[in-house]
Amino acid sequence: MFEYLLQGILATFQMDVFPFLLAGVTGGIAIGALPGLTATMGVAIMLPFTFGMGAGASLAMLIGVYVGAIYGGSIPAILLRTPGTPASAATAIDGHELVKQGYATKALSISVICSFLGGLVSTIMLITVSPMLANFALRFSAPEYFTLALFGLTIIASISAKSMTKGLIGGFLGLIVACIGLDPITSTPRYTFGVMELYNGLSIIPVLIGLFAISECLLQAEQLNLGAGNAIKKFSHSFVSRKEFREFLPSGLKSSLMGTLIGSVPGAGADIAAFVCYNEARRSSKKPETFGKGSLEGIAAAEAGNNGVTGGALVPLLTLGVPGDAVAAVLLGALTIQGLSPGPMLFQNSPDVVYGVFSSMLIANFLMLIVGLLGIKLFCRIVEVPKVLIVPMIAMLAVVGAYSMNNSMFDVGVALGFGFLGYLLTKCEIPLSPIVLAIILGPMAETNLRKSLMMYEGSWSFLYERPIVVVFIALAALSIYSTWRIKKKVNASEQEQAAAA
Amino acid sequence: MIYGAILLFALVFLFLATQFQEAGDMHAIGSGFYPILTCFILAGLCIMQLVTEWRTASDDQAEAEPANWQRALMVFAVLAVYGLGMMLIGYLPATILGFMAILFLLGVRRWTWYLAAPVFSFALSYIFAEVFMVFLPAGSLFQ
Repeated sequence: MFEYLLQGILATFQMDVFPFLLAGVTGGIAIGALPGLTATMGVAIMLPFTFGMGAGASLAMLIGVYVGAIYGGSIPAILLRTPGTPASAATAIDGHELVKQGYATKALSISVICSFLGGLVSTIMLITVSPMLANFALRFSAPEYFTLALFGLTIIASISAKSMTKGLIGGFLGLIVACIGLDPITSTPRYTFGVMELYNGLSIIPVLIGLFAISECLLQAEQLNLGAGNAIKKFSHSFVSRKEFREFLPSGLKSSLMGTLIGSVPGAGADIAAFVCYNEARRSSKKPETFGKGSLEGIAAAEAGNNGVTGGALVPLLTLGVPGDAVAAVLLGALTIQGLSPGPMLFQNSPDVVYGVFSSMLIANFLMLIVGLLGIKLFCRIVEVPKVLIVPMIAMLAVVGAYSMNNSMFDVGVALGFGFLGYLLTKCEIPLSPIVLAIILGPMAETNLRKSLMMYEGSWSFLYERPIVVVFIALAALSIYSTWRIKKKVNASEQEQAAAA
Repeated sequence: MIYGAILLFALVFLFLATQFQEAGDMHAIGSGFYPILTCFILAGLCIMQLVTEWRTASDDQAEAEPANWQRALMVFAVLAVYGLGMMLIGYLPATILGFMAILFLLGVRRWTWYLAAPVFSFALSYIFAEVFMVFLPAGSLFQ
């Protein structure tokens, strides 16, 4: 394992990979710093740039964007009390209070240090846990994969923002979209309407670009207010002292571990991790009364928690081929473009790619720390970039990106169609992530269900005869239950914060 | 209205799924089983949501705010024309015009901001072609 990891680290420092990783981290921080642009959208919009790259450079750049954007979201959260990404909502509570007291640089430096801690701890967990889990998953056959996909589909419950029904509607829409093309077992054409381009199903990349980039542009265009500016007040440039570092370090370390664990549970994203960690830090703090008034521990907990998710979310993706959240689903698309399919066999067939991902994660976190600390003043300026320029840039990039994958106008049409669909669904508060997860997991569930029934000659007894299948069914039920519990806790925490504010 | 549209979509796709031509009957479930089940559940969820919306309709109407959806539709139309224009007149002119059209739709009237259009277009073209080796369309009119 260490030999592969060392090789991966050396490969990441090669000139055909490292500049892309650095560009990814820097670009990711910039994307996250722009309010309204999420990490998912950042990774989706950067995908077209990776079409001509090798697997190492491509994944390094996208991982850099992911890691950078989750941290970058804290910059406007702290400076403007406007979270750049949903994951930074908890950071805004204490971060902006510190800014009001004149300590913006201090708040931003705690944020980057704890984001680094969270990312580092989660990467170490990813490196140690993933190979073991992948080794175990080699025993899986069709029934296990069917229930695994079913378990993955329960993620829809946890990423359905407010209404479970709306999330399920999005999920089932995605499942129908996933049926377009030739039937995976008998090659019967389904919903192809005689259009040749539909026989292989819809490409995931134009769908992702449409849902996450084009729909966001349309929403921004609708809500844009030219008069609204992002003015930042003048602030002190003092960094954290040694005493302050010792004060928030335990909270940061504990939240890093918690964030990693939450991230490895499919569906529990960075936003949930940040709130759970923030709540726990306040509960266990010696000075709980400072929370909500510029607590250093509060910023540390929220940031270590949300960046802890970055490595955790890659565990189910790499080992089982199940994306833990929407960003992981986009990364799965990137792996597919490179002709790789995540899952236990990836560890057997392409260990160089797997350890390349591990080392990219590791180095991306160090780069985030360096770039984040050096660029604090610069990133403060990014939040002032007018949205009116960002909207056309992202819109043009999205159309060009959809076209350039296969040089196909059909893909542009798919991206535009899904962009408009995403816009309509978002306006009706139907979340978009379930659609993507269903498009990815739907074929996996159907193919393996039908293979299982063939194996068992039409009997459904595989659902209770195979121990791992039973475990996955139990995990699916537990996932729905725990999602319900976590959501209840997060809602209570948000209500308490609102009441306190 | 959106749930009505999704319900209609589910019912049409449900009907289409019943028409799939099976290649063989050696399997326990055919190619129509999964889409039929999915469409059926989706239709049920839409009916549930329609009932919920209908029950709370009076509250929502009071909270409804006017939105600038026309601007979003116009930006969408520009993007659709941009996609076609890119094939016809090529990436660079199409992107410059498309960028400027969106800026205009977003209410930008200061001419200096329009300089961002050629700068962005040339920069993106350079990055795609020189760094990532992805070549953008030159336009059928000029070929």
